Amino acid sequence: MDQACPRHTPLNSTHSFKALQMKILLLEDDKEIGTWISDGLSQSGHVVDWLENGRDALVAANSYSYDVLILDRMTPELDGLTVLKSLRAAKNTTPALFLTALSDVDSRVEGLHAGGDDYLSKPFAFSELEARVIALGRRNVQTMETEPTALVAGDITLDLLRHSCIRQGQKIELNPKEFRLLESFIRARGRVLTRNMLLEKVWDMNFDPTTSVVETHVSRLRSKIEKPFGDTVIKTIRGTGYIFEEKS
Amino acid sequence: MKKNPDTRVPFYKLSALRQALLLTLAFAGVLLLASFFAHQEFQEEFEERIRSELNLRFAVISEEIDINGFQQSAYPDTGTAQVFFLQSPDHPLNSLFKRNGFFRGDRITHETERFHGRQLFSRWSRRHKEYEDDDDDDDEDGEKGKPHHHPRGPGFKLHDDDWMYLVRSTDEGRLVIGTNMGRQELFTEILLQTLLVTGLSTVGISMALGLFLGLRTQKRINAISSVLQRVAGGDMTARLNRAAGGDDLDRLAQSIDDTTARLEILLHQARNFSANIAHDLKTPLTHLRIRLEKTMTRLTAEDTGSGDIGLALEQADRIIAIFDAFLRIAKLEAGTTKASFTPLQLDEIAQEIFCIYEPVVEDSKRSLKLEKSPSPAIEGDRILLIQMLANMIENGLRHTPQGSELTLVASRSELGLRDTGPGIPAEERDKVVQPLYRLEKSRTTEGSGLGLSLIRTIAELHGAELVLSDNEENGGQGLFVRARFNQNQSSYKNFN
Repeated sequence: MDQACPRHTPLNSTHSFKALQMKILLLEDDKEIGTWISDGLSQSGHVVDWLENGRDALVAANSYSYDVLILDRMTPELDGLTVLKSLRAAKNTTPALFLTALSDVDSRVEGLHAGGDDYLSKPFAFSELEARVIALGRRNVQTMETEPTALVAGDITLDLLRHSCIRQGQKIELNPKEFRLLESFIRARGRVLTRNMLLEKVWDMNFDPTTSVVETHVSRLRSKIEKPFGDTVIKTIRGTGYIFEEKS
Repeated sequence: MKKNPDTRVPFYKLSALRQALLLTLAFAGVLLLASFFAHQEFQEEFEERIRSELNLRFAVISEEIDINGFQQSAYPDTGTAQVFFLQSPDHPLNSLFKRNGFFRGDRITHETERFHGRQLFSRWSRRHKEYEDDDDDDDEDGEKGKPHHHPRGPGFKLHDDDWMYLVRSTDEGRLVIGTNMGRQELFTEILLQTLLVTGLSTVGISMALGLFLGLRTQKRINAISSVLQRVAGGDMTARLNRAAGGDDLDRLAQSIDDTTARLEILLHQARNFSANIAHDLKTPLTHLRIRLEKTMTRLTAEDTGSGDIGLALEQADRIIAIFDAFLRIAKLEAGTTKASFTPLQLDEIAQEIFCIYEPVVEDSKRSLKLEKSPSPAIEGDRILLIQMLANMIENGLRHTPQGSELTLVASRSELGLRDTGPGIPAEERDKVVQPLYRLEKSRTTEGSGLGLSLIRTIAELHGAELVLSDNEENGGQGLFVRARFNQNQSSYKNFN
């Protein structure tokens, strides 16, 4: 098993995906955490408006257009949940990610009900946050498109209706979970998918198993879609997750 | 959504009905007894009055006879009263009334006089009898009388009247004065009718009223018990909201409300307490992690060794994981986490977790099998049940040697895992499900010590019982841990 120590690697510098320049609103009352997130995201090339209380955040979100909102659940004046509820009531659909110290399923559901799109409990690795924020920014762009019936990534084609996978004209047999895993990778091509994101997306597991569930399944998938072709499409980012890079 | 377990009691078991019936029976009993005594008393009183009336008439008539002599025509038979004067010893009634005194019996008619002579009356008899024209002289014979046996000669039936006669000697003979007791019967009848009508209406009214009051009380008791059930199910906002200062039930309701309010506050405090711990501890943990991660990033960028920091970060993540698991159990146990129950097939969940873990177990040089039989849908929280099975498998991986065989079992009412590892001694089994308890020999293995207690908590949340036993399939070697679901699932909803 890989040494499981997540570390912050500036994603856009080491990986050749097209960096999204995003305008991000951060609501966080803790100075240390706020500085860390704001600095980190700025280094990755995003513009961050960091506000420390809910009322200011609500005003800002109503006044400017953001790509992603990062909201702490417990903040002075107005908590993040209330801020987002007000925004959603005013038909503001900016993707939002909740940060919280409350990690149970309850507050997760609560946050999603309030209109949140993702949820991250403290403490977290920076790479986890960044991957999720980028995914959210992407989602905003993707929702404009209509749902495709097939996904094409270089020489790989996924037929979403027939659940079949073809690479370089060769049919590859995948079980349902492997198909879903590959589908998640292709949809997120060029972006990092963390272990936790995969657990949630593919296996519906909202807890961190102590065993290498993700690693095992990714390695099985790789043996099917990479090994016969002698190349690498799924790259491991140590301690963080994976990134799918299409080959033409 | 929560459905209250059916609290309705069969009608015949309602205590209101039983109370009303009992009261009504008691009423009816008292009424019968009262009627009986009233009737007795009434009859005695009536007879007493008749007697004194006869005495009075005797005084008046005997005085008239003294003055005017006896004229039978002056005393016609009115049908309600008769007067005879027995002046000569030959008078046929002399054989009838041999003594002075009060006699009770049938009305005297001419036929009686004609056939007389013999004992026709049974003294103080209340019954009307048929008498026969008998030669028997014996006074008491009539008592024995032979009813229904018709006499030789022209027998007759005496009137169905009940009469009382006073026979008393005067200076010149014996005076017989009779009066019809029919009025007594009429009065008795009226009395009995009155008693019957009042009795029946009393019984009816007491039954209806008792039932009405009883059912009203029952309704209030039902309200109380349904609120208590909601509270038992974790809904601390349930209240009865009765006006204070009402009757005893209102006061009971009030104290239940007070208790629930208190419980709600305590629970809220406990909940806040764990939320506060979470917040208070998580903030420094988050800061710690951020510092470690920053240092790590810098060291990696500078390409100097980051081994110790990496290990420190790993340990910090372990602390956080244990802490999260602990909080999760606490919240599930406190019932503050609302599980979302949907109909689920146990075998499908087992199949899903099997697909997730089969390669993982295989990579660890153990084997995972699936033993399932079709199961009916149960109500359950999918995510929690998956977590439960995942914990069982991860426990199994952690505590069995390589080469062991794990079997995932899903049947009608069970979800569990058998392994061929070292097992858990019977005397330790109760303890291992307690949070943070670990077997001495497993102290050295990785893990939070929370696995089994999380499994138990999730099982109990579903109304299932966690059972640990030897793996009998493997000759008693190994552990069989399973959640045994209640087939009718009466308790799972309590948590919902």
